[in-house]
Amino acid sequence: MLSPMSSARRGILVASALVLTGAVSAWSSPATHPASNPSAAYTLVVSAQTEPTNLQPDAKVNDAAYAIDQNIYNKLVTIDYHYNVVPDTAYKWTVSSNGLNYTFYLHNNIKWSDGVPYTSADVVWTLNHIVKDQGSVAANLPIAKATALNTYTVRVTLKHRDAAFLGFLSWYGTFILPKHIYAGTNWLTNPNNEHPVGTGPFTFQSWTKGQSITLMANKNYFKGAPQVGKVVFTFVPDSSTALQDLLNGSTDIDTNSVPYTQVPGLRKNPKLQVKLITYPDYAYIDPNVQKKPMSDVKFRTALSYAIDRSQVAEKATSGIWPVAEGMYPPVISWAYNKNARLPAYSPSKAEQLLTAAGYKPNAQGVRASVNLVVFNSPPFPDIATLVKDNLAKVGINVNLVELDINTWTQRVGTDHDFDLALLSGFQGPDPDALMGRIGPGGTENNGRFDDPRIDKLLLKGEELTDRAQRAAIYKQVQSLMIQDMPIIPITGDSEPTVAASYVQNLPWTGAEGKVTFDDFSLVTISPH
Amino acid sequence: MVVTVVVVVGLNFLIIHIAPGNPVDIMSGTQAPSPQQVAYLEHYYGLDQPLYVQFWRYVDGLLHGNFGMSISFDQPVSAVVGAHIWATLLLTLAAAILALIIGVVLGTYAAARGEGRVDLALSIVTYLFYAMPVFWLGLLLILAFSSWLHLFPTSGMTNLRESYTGLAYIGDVAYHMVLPVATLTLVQFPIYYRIGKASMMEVLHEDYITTLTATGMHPNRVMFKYALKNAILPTVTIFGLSLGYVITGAALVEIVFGWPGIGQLTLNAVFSRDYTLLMGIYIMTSVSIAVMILLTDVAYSLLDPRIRYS
Repeated sequence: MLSPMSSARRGILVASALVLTGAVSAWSSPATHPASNPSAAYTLVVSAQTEPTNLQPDAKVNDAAYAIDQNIYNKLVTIDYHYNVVPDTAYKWTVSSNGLNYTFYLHNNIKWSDGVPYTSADVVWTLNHIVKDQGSVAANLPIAKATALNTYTVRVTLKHRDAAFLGFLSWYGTFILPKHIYAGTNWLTNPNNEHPVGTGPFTFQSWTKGQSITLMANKNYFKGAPQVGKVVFTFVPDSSTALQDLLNGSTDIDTNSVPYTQVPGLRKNPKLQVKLITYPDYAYIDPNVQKKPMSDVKFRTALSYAIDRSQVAEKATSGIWPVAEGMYPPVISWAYNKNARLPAYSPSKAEQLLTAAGYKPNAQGVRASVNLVVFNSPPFPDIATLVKDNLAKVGINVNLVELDINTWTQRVGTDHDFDLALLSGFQGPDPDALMGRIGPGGTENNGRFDDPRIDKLLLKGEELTDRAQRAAIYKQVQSLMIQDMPIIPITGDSEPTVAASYVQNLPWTGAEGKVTFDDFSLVTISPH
Repeated sequence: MVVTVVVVVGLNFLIIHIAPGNPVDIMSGTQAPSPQQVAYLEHYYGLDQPLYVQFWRYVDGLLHGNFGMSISFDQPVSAVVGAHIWATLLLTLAAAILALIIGVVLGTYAAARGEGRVDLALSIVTYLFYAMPVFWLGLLLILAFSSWLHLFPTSGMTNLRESYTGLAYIGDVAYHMVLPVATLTLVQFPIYYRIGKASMMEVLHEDYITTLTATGMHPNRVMFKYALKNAILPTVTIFGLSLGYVITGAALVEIVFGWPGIGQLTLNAVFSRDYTLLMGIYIMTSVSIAVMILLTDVAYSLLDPRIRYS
């Protein structure tokens, strides 16, 4: 009879054998030492920070699903890395002269992954539903109604002229959903959100919760089958771990935010390709113009002289974020006014302005005391600290208030209880986004700034459809913003994205202008 | 225990709702939505009702065994939690048991050896691990054993390029478990070492031990048949209490290793103010702590014949 001790020993032996079996089989897999596989047999592994809660792209804001949705769904029109609107399932579109009627002509050879043909019925259903059920971008799509003119033609009628309509239609929350699966159901709880049927370059295969989502190449994709056979999205919350995963070969693309301090070292590594992707975001100071002294334009202008933007970019972001020179991100180049420049750093000029405006230093050398409310996501606290230091040098005492993003949103966005706020935000895809930040009743206009001259121009910009005319208007807005200082931009936003060198034709390098942000349909793997 | 659970549910509900921010504002992202959108979503999730109505609806659901729908997932809370909880339990139970065994074995060994270099060395090492931040240790282990020595995988629970099944799958998971379990074990075993050692030393000075040794009984027999059973009682208490936290206690390790567990789920739920999911997790944690305390008391009474519950 076996005594208790030796059966435990046997158990340990069995467990060790299991571990070794797993170890050996994992070791001998191609993953750890990728061989020269042709793209079709290759599994592209992409790491992301957050696992999506579900893959429903339109009903609510779903940032975590966005990259995946771009590979399994399509839109009417889409947007490339230069922020140009390009065809997607609609190969052509026309606009009526009154700017209210858009007609989209669809490809006739698109099929859903379950074989059902893609038609105007799907487009009409999706657009009407976004409006009716308050989809995430409903407020940006002033659609009165969408109708099918025939099987492959859709007419969209707007409630009023809106030049930004196409830009928003091409960007986010506008993926066309299968009517035959969603109609008559609750699109928030429909099981298609867990295992989607789509039209995209890849079809959904499986979802291992907490770990990965696997997509297979769609051989019937209407733009041509993708090169890579399989794409796996994996979720690694810690950015240092994600980088190690890339370096160790478990992943091929790292879309987590790479620690900025590591970027110079990564650029020297021949096995990696690092791309700094510049987004149309600005990190800026938002002054609460309803309170003194922020209501004084001379005070605000003095702030713009007092902040050393180069130093902030260098110290807070390791030089990764570009210095802001104007009032709008230059990435959207057609609307950027390069002559509407922020003043060069000059603390002495700032002090002159402050003294002339009546803010004289008291016995302690303090001219004014304000608070600066910032949320605690890096690098914003660091930026805030540097700004505080800059302003102290010109006699403005800054009290830093650091909050988690939700509390911050409550305090700044809802309660408007702040003097200065530090934030960032997407200013695209169309310069009409300025309306939200400095326009009347703008949802991001935390300081509730209002200049009737700017309001009039912004409204005009929404109505016109000719791009050259609109560009002139927005450039004028930027000149007025330099006079008014409603916001004080500090830096732009560039994010380092790292991938293995053997991955070619990425949307951000190699296939720019051909596919949208995270569409991997053109990716090929070179031998390595 | 029923009263405890009721009070816990009520308190948790209140605390979660008092926190600033609400899920609809948050799910709309920093690109603030239109008022119609906010109103629509608040109505859909029942957040426009007064607090006591929301509470009553929730309790009513609970009494029917329904934990409600997660606001961020739009799926039943039980399904969301169920998908993540086994990974956590696998990790934390393995680490808890290993920590207990290693700690007690080392503690007993040190106590038996008495004061000396071995005791000093072990004390220093255990203090080091006890003081170490767990996420730092985790990343260190990744750098050493995965990036530098290529011995173990970097993160995750399974190999993503292959899909193993059956025995190979079990081996793959076990292989991926080594580093995260090691991290958790290393930061937990010092407690068992200290308490095990102190308790054993106390027992070894008892009169009956001296008597047994004087009778010429083999020291190993004295140790394992008589001393250990008494010395292990405080350790059992600690182990039982730590099991109560087995559900949410591994969040940092799960984050560093990308382990698909419930710790990270909880963090995301807090950030998105997903009230129903948070309530579900808190209730589970509270119930598991209450159950573990009960089981610890039972285990204690089984081990110690001086204690009997009527």
